[in-house]
Amino acid sequence: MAEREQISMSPPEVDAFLRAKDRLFLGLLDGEGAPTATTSRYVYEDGYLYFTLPSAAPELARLRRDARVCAIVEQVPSYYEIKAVTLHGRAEEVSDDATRARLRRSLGEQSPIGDGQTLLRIPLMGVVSFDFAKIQRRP
Amino acid sequence: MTNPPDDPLTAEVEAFLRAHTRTFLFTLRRDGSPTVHPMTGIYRDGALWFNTYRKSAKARNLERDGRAACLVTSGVTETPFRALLLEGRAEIMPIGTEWPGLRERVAGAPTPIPGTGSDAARRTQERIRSGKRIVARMVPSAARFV
Repeated sequence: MAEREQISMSPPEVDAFLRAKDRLFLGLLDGEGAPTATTSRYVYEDGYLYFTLPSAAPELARLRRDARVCAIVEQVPSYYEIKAVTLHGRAEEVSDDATRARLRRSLGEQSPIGDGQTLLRIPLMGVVSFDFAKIQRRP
Repeated sequence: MTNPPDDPLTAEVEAFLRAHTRTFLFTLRRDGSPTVHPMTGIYRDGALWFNTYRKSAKARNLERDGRAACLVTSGVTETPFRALLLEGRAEIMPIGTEWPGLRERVAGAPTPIPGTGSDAARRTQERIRSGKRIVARMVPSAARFV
């Protein structure tokens, strides 16, 4: 087994980790195709990371032009406690009222959904994960 | 000495970079989509410095296209949480280039991530000297807090 596979998280571990955390770091593309980035609080539900961006933010215009993104959620209290989950996919705008109402409660005041905010989501695909605690448990 | 007016490295930006090392490096994959690599970034001489394995995806991505972005962050439990976005180009340095501060960490200075000591720093130093690991630097052309 390759070293990366030995320290990757199982799907239930990825699920539990994403539920326990609340901040993502998002990579996207600027108008010239160069990488740029931002950060947001998120909620993980139904296999998606949900987050908001200000509707006037340049990042939103960029995502409408090219929706390809990557996102990472991580923790680094110490070397052997490092865990991270990385996703690669496409960001989607969420406009249906039922989802927005449900997420309004979940995201709370940290990432308000309302006038001037756009709700987005990234599906859980293209996942790369690692859990450095597994380095110590390797045979 | 003050920086020129169009220099992205204001005093506030430089102070943040000197105080924080947790960095997400964003590069481009072969198909032009973005990807991300968690790194330790050391700020020195107007650039952010990294080290990584020569054969890593991030090194290959930067060799192909040096355009890069970095988010340098405070700890997620730090209040207020802050993240600094740097945009610019990254370049892989010649074999043998030192990673700033590594010599001091080999000698016992604190490491950026708790749980890694001087032994780990020494192994990193040996791998950089042998060319197994490379040092890269990212020179920002823009910087803003996000």
